[in-house]
Amino acid sequence: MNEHNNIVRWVIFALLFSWAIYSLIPTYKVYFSSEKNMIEKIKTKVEIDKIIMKKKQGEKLTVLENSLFDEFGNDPEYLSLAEGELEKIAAFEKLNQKSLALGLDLQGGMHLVLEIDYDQLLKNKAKVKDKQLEDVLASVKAETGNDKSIYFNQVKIAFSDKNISMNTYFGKEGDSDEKIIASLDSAAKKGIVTTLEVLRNRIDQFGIAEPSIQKRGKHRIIVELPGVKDEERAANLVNRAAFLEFKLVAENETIQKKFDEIDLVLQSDTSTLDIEEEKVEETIDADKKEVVEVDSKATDAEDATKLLSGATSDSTEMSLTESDLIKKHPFKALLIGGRGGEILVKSENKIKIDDIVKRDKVRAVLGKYEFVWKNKLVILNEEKYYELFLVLKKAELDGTSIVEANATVSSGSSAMGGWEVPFELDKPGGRKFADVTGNNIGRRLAIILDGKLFMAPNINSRIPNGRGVITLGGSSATEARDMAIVLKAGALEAPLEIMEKRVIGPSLGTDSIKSGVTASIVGVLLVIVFMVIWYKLSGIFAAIALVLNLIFTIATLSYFRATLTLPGIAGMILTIGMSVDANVLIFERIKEELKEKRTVLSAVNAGYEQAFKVIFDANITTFIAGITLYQFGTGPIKGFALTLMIGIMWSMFTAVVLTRLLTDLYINKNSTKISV
Amino acid sequence: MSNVRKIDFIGKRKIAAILSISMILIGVLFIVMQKGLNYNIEFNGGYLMHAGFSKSIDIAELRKTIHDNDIKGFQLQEFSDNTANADYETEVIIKVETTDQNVKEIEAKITKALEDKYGREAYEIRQASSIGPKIGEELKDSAVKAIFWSLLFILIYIKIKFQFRYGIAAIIALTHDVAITIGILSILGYLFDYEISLSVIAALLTIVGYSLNDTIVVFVRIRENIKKLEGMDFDKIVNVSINETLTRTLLTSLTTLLVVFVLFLFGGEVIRDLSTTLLIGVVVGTYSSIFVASPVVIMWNNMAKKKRKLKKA
Repeated sequence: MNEHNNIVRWVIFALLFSWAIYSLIPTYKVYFSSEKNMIEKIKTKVEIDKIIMKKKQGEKLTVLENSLFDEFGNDPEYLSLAEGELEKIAAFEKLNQKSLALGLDLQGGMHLVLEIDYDQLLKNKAKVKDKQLEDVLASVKAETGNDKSIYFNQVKIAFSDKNISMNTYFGKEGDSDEKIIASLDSAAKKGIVTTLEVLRNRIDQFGIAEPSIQKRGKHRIIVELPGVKDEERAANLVNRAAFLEFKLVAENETIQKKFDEIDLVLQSDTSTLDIEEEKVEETIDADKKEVVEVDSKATDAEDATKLLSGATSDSTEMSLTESDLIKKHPFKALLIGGRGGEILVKSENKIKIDDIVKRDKVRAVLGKYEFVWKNKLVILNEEKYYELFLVLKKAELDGTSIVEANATVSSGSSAMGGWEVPFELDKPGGRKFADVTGNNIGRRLAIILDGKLFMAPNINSRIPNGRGVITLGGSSATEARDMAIVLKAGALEAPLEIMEKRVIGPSLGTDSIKSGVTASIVGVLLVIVFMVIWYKLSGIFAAIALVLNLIFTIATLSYFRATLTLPGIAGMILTIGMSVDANVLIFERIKEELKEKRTVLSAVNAGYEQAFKVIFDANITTFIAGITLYQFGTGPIKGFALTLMIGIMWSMFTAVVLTRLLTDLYINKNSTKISV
Repeated sequence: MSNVRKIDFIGKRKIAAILSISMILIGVLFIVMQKGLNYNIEFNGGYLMHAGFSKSIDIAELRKTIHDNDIKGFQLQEFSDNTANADYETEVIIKVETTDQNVKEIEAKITKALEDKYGREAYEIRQASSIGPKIGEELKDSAVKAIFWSLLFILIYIKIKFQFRYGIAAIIALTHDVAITIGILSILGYLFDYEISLSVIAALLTIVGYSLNDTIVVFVRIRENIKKLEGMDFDKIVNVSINETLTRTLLTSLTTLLVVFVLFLFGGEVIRDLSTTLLIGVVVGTYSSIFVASPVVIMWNNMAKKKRKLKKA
C-alpha cells in the first residue's frame, strides 16, 4: 500500500466533501431555515412602502393596492420591519438560485405542452379569406392530424390537388408555390420564436416564481408554472391570442343596405335556407314552432321596433303573419333593435346568424364588411341577447404598437365603477391613431380583441397622443389585469393548441415529499442494518459510504440546479440499494482472496483491484440505460434518470475511494485481520 | 475454490428455458386477451382528475352525477392509499380515456358537474391531466425507441469489452426480462386493471440497466476464469463463475429489493407504478442473469463448436 497515494486520496476526498457541504448550504437555508417566512413578510412590506409613497404623492391607487394596504398597512408587525430590507430579498433570491429546485410534482403547478395552430396561422396570413381556402385548410388538417412536420408539404399537395394557385392567397404577385411554402414555413418558425417571447413577457407579469418556457423540438413549447394556484386563469393567459384590432363600424345607411341585400340573397336562396334552418334547429334542440313564437314575441316587444320598422315601412307589411315576415326578411327577422339603436340577437339565434354569415353569397354581399359579436351578453327583460356589429374588415390599426397598458378602476360615471384598461401606443402607432380618429369624427371605432368586440365608442375628436381606454364594465379585477398583461406583452401570431395539460395540486406535492422522505429514510436504515449485520466492520464502512453517496448526489443536483422530482427521489432510493453493490463486489472479492491464504493486506489490495474492473463495466451499462432514459423522458422521468446516473457515479467513487481509505486506515492499526 | 458452494445451474438450464418460455407465453396470452397492452391516458389520450373531498361522499351518487352530465365512457375509482392525506375523507379518480372526444370539453363538463353538485369549496383537485391523442402516440413511439437504443448501445459496449456472443446473450437476457415483466404487468392489468404508464417505461429501462449489471458481473468472472482454469470445459467454467458470483448476485438483489419494496410501501400512490414494475423486474433480472444470460453463451458456444466440427469433417 502506498502511504503517499492515500494522503492524496484523503485530500481529494476532503476537498470534494467540503464542496458538497458548500453546495448544500443554500438548499438547507432555503428549505429548512426560518428565513423563507421572513422574506415573504419583507416583500409585502416593500409593496406597502410603495403604496404609502403613492398615497403621499396623491397618486391614484388600484383596487389591489387598496386592499393590500387595508390588510397590512396598519399591521404593527409590518410597520416595525426595518427599512431597506431589499438587500435581504436579493440575498435570498440569490440563495434560491443556488438551491435544489423542486419539480412540479413536488411543489404543485401546471405543465403545458403547446403547439401553434397552423390552421389559424395560415388563415391570418392569407390575403383573401374565403370558403375555398377554408376547405383546403380543413382537408390539410384532416390529412396531417396533428403532425406539424408534414403540414406545409401537405398544404402544397392540397393546393395543387385542387388546382388552386397558392398565389391567390399568399405571397407577392407572381410568387411560385415553392417560394410561398418556404416563406410560410419560415413564418411558422419565426412564429414559435415570437410566441416564446410573448409567453415569457406574459408569464413574467403574471408573477410566478421560476417559470420555465422552453421550445421542444421544432413545433412545441413546454410551459411549466410551478406553484400556480389559479390554473384556469394561467391557461387562459397563456393560450390567449390577444390580437387587438381597431376597426371602423359601418355607418347606419350601409348597415340597412347590407341587411336588405342579405335578405334578398336569402330569399332567392330559400330552398337552401330551409334545409339549413332545419339543421340549425336540430343542433340547438328547439322545434320550429317554438322558434317562430319567440320571434313573434320579439317583434311585438315595444323596444324592438326600430330596425324592422325601417325595413317594413309599408303598413301592409305590418299585418303580415310571422312566417311571411320570415320569408320576406329571413335575415332581419332574426334581429331585434335595441333602444340605443343596437342590433341584438336572441342568444338561441346566434348560431343561425353565424351560419348565414358563412355562406359565400352573403360574404359576397358583405364585401369589405364583416360581422363581429360583442364580448358580453346583453340582458333585456330577463332574456339573453348578443349584440351584433358590422365593421370594416380592414383594421385601421392593431395592437402591436401598444407600449403600455394598465388595469384601473374607471373614474367615469358611465362605467359605474367598473374596470378599465388605459393603453398607450408607440409614436408611429399614435400618429396613425390620430389620423384615424381625425378623419372619422362622428363615426364609431370598434375595439376588437381576439375577434370579439369589446367596445365601439363614438369618435368625438382627433386623439393626438396615442392614448385610449378600453372599458370593461362589470368585469373583475383579475380579468382587467390579465387583459392589461396580454395587451402589453403582445399578441400571438396564431392561437396555441394545448396538447397536454397537467395540473398538480400543492397538497399532492406535499404528500409526495412526505412519502419520498419516509421511503428514503426507511430504505437507508434497512440497507445499513443489513450491511452491518452481514459484513460487520466493513459493513459500517459501506454504510458510511452510502450516506456520503447520498450527500454527494444531492449536492451535485443542487450544484447544477437540477430539479428534484418524486421519481428523482425514487431514483436516489434505488441507487441506495444498487450502490451497495460496489461494496459487495469488493468485499466478496476480498473474502475470496483471503481464502487463497494471502495476507490481509495483499488480499485487500487484490480485492479492490479485481473488483474495480467489474464495478466499472457493470456500472457503465446501467449508465448507458440512464442516458437513453434521460433522452426519452419528460420532466419527472428525466429527474429519475438524472439521479440514477449521478448516484451511480458517486457510488463508484465512494466505494472505490472512500471505503478503501477507511479499510486502509483500519488495517494500518490491525494489520492481521479484517471482518468482511 | 473448494469451499464455493456448487450448484449445477447450467445443468438446470433446460428447466429454466421451459420456465422462461412459458412465462413469456402466458404474458403474451394475457396481452392478446386484452387486445394489446393496457395503456393509461398518458399513452391513450384523455382526461384524468384526482380529487380530494373534505367530507365523505357517496361514490354511487358521484357516479350518477357524472353520468347525468353526458360524460361518455368514464371510469370512477375510489382512491385508497395507506399514505393518503388525512385532510380528505374521500379521494376519487375520474378518468375518461378517449382519442376522438374533445378532451377540453370533457374537462369542462366534469369540472362543472362537480362544482354544481358539491360546490367549489367541498373538494380540491389534487391532480388533473388532459392529454391529446397525438402526445400519446408519440410517447409510445419514443418509448419503443428508447428501449431499442439502450439495447443497441449496450450491445455495442459489450461487443467491445467482451465478445459478440456475450453481447447477444446479454440482449436476449434483457429482452427476456422486459418481456416477462410486461407479461406480469399484463396479468396484473387483467386482474386489477393495472395500466402501463410513463413510469412503467422508466422502470423497464432501469431494469434493463440493473439486470445487465448483474449479467456483466458474471461475464467478467467467466472471462477471468477462462484464463485461470484453462483446459476446463466451458460449461463448467460458466457454472463455477455463476457459483462464485452467486453471493454477490443475491446480496445485491436483496438490498435492491429491500429498497424497492420500501419504495412500494412508503413511496405513495404517485410512484406505485414505478415501484411495482421495479419489484417485478429486479426479481426477473436476478433470475435471468443466472439462468438465461450465461446459458445462452454456452448454447452459442456449442453451436459454434458443432459448426467448426462440421467444417472439419
